[in-house]
Amino acid sequence: MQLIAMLVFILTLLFQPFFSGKVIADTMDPEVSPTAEIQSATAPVNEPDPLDDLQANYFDLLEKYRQQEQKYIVAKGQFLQLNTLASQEQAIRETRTLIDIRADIFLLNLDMLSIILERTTGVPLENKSPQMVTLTLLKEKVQLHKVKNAESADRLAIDAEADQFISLFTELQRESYYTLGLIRMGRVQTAIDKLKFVRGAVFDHVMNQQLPVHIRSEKERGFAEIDRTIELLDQNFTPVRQQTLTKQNNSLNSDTKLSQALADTFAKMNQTVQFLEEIRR
Amino acid sequence: MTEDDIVSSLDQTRFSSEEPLFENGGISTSTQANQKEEKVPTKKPPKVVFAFIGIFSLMLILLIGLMMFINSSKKAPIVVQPSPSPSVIQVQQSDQIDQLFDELNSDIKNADPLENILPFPPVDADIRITPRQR
Repeated sequence: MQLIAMLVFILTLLFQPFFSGKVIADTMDPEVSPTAEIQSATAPVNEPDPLDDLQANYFDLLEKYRQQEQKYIVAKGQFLQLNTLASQEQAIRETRTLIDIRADIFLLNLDMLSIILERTTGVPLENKSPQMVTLTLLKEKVQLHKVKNAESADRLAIDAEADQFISLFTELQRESYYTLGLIRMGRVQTAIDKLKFVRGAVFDHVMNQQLPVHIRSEKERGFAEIDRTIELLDQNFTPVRQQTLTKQNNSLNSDTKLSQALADTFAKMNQTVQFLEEIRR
Repeated sequence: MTEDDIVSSLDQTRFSSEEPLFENGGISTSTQANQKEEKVPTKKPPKVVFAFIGIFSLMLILLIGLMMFINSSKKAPIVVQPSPSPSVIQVQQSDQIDQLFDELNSDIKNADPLENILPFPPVDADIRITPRQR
């Protein structure tokens, strides 16, 4: 009996680490932190982007414009055909409503352009600030046109205001495409600046490593190639940048040409990134 | 010593203090219990039990030893070519460069010239009631 008791005691001593270890492993679950819920509850909520709301309203307004445009076309056609006072009243109402929606569309468009330009880095301040002011002035002009349209009593007043609006429309078109050009140029400039910075960081990182002589020579040749590509990139981009900053891009045609001119720069940037990723390995 | 004493001393079948039973009313119960206790021998475990315990212990020790050997052989890594572990600074630099690459790729994607940032509103420039006089 004593021997059996001693045997049981020895067995307990031998197997104790296994059982105790398992119990500890069960109680300590590394995947679920006890503070996880608290951290998620107190984490700051991301603020909604005002641009998203503007964009949603913009597309809603465009849809509304399309629907109203149909009514305007019908009412105008009826007036021109029937030439009655009732049809004229209907035409005036539908025309005034359509002009009002068009004005709201331009106001939203100018708001969005202002926000995007404000957020774009890489645009020189001497170009960005005056353009922000220009966009604000344009907004005021569109607002004034909206008020005059609402106050237009008859079809002659509406038509007179429509004639005034043509010059404003041309100005809106010119400034919108110039702003878009600045934004495109600014984004490319930002990417080029970041590319040069990353090149420097990768160079420091690679050269600080203890590398055999032949591999170090290989890396140095790789960096020389990268530097040549960056130089070509700069050479391509500089005239495009200059053209954009001097307000030569102010139409749909020039915006398309700008996109084409930036395509080569864009391709070289991607190539340089690939070289950097290769050389880093 | 009488002759009877001599005979009784030579008699090896009888104890000297033995008295014939039931002559003096028998032996008392306490005395009987003590005698019974004295008479019950200590029971030793059979040798088979000892052998079983011994074999079981041996098997257990062998099993534990085998498990420890298997664990140690599993944990032992197959070292083909030892490589130097990167220093903490190098690992931090590598993480920073990863982040820089992510930011760079995001900036380049943002700079895609084919992206239609914000098209000019597709609206009619000339909205009027009576047609324009040309």
